[in-house]
Amino acid sequence: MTFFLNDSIPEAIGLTETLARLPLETEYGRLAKEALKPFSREEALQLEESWREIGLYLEADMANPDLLKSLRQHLHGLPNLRKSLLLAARGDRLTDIELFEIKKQAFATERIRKVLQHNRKLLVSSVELAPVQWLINLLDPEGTGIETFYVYDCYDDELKHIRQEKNRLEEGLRRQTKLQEQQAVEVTGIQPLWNGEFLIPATHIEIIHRLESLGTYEKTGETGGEWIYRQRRLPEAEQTETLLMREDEAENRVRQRLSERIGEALEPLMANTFALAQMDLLLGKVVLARRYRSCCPALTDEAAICITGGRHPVLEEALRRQRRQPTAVDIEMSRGVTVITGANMGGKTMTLKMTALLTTLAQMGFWVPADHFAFQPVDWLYFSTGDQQSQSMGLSTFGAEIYALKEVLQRTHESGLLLLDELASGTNPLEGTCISRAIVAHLSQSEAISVVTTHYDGVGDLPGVRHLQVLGLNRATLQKLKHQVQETGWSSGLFEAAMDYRLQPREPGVPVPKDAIAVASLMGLQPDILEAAQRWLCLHQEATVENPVNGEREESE
Amino acid sequence: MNLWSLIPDELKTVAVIGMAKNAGKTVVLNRLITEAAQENRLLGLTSIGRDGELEDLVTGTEKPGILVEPGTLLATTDLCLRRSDARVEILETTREKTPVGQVVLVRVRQRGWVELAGPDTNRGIRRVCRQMLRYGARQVLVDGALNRKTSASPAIADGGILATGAVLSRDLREAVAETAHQVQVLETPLWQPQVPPVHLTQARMAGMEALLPEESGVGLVHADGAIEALPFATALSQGKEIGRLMKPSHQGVLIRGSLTNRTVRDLVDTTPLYRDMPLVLEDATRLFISRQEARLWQKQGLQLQVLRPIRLLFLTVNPWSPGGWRFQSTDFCRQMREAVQTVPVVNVMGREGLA
Repeated sequence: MTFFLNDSIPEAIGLTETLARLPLETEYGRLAKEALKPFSREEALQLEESWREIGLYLEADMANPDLLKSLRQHLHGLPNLRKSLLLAARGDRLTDIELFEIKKQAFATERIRKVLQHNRKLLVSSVELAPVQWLINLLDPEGTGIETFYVYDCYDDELKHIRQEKNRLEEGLRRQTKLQEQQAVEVTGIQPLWNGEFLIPATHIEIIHRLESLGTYEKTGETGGEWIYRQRRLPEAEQTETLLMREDEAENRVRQRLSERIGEALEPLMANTFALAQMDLLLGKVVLARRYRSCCPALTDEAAICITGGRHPVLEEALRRQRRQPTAVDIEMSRGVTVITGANMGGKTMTLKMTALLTTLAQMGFWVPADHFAFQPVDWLYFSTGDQQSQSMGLSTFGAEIYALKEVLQRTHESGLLLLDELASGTNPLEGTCISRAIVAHLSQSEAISVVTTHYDGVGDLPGVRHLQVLGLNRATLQKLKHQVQETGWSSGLFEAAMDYRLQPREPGVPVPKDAIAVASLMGLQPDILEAAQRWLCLHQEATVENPVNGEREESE
Repeated sequence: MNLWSLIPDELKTVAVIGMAKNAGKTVVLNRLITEAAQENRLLGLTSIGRDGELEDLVTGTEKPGILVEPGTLLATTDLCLRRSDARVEILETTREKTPVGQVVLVRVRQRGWVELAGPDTNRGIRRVCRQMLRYGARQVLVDGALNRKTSASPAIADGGILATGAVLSRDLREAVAETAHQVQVLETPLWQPQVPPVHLTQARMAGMEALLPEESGVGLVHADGAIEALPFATALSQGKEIGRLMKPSHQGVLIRGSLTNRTVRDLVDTTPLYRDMPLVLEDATRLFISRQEARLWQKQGLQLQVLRPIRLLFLTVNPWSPGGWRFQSTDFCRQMREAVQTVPVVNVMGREGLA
């Protein structure tokens, strides 16, 4: 069963971006990251274990900051050898480069094992490595400790013998060539070229004759007025070809033998690659936990999500780059619906994204950027931004939202997390309000945890619905802001600085704050438009008192 | 004579570049390698970008190109190693991928023939050269690709050797003239402005990026050394615009990337100011100007200069052409020496070394 009910969710909630910040040293780690998926509720033990591992590593890092750094260095750049291992197990002959990589990785593995042996706290089960000293011995037969690879002479007596013979032969050939060259120099009185060739003027017949009479040189060409003489191939040279072939065969026998030994140990060696992957991932999680000042999540008995001081790491970084102070959010939610209302630009969307992201991260075994985070793992997660469009299906914003929602509502009998931003805002406010109320009423009876943000009145006042409101801008701050804007003009960040992003439970009956016009005024929309908008608002409020369509009657007072 | 006597020891990487296929580049390489072995000079060897030769390499059945002695360091690909009969010790894999496999660093343990195919990026070449020097090579030879003088770029090599030959033309004078033009291009002089821009010293190392912002391909150097970056990504097809913006007070025009006939023609047609200030390129490998046009513009007073000069060490000539004709070698060398007086001329196929 898929966890994300829509493929675009990881991107939309900032998970993709957060995971992109996960530092990894190996191909194994990157593969493990790609394969990351949330644990299910039944896997609570494994989940708690992965949080505990992060805690242990963080502790060790506090005590000795170089420790994890050294582990990362040992891991750095290890290539993916799984394919080679499988080939070896299948009986294929590995190449020198594959054997070289396996040797290098064996050295790295032993180094990591040593670090873990000396720091037993770090020796958690997911990163347990099988010993590979035998593999090092196999690929470093001379025990030099040097991490290069060669089909060493000592692997095979015959190989050693062939090479000795080959070298002896080549030495002999070289000597003989030199000797014949000296003879040629003596009879011709001419020095050879760098490549051993003699250039003899065609007119010097007697020199040519003397050289040819040696029987060791033959004419291979002419250049201008000169003849080119090259040494005849020595009969012994044929033997090198044979020796080279025999050397080839002997080397391949060695490679085959080494490959077989490696193939026999497929299981522990393959398991080691997965342990290395887990170690890489774990070290990455530790870095993220530190960077985002994260907390270890806790499990609740009931379906709930309780966040204290929750932060969205991607937003947080963006704000810091603009030298602005990010705000942490507290929010609690449980089975049924939580409705969030409040000022425009009050961070409602970010609260939804933060909730989705932290829940996913925690459920993937990460610590989360919050002061405190407790939850029960969910079976699925849905997040809708309310402004999605499905161009491929030719649907408008509203169409796409409803289409997706129809699918999601079929799963609300399971425990899931449903986050709807600006529900039904893509259609007319009257029907939008009615549809929102109906959906919220339906969700309030479901097993899932739902959070809905809306600007519509009365949605949060339905029975059994928790209603939270962004504190936003109160009248005093609005006035202050107005003065500030009048004096220094509008600047980005001004607004955010005045905004109170905290959420607080809202008493039923108080109308949804109407500050869109005030905000638009601050941002400098033309005054005549603002005045007209204000007049329309008053007219509308009077009309709804006389002719109540929905629950606005009591609110408009 | 030993060719290494023409290569100063402090030049750590030397590129051998060919003016055309069969200009004798491989002969020069083999000679350098043979002569290095004779005096126990430990070499590192690699090559850059094989493109044209790729087919030969994959389908060819001929013996691979170069004979190497034990101890020699190589940066070549796994596929090339499979085709070679030298035995090697794998020192390092590089993750540097080429169309003919992954580049690996090896040390030769048993002598034999090898094929070279190194990284195809400047950065990759620099990296493997550095590594081979670290593994103990006294100097590194880079086999430059055919018709790709980029391998002589100061971004890669400390010095260059140009291989030319009869293959250029059936007409000896034509072959000599074309070679002389190429030498002149490679030896485009260093830009030494009266009032140097602030970052000129860095630019001698890092190139144009030290002087121009990333998005700009052209800059005007004012009299006070200040640089005005123009909003063109390259100089290509902007000759007229550049010409219009040049003023008598400027002391040079910086050009990132290539400079072609068309750009120069447009510029020369637009303003006479090209006589008063140089066009400055990153290095001479960016210059793509034909012989006839170069001669014409030189007469008219066009000044071309570079941030980073190429150190051309010597020129080798191959009087043989695989097309069947050959030049009388003493004659060919003599005419070449008359036309190219700045560097030594060596006949790779002949006995005589220097003039």
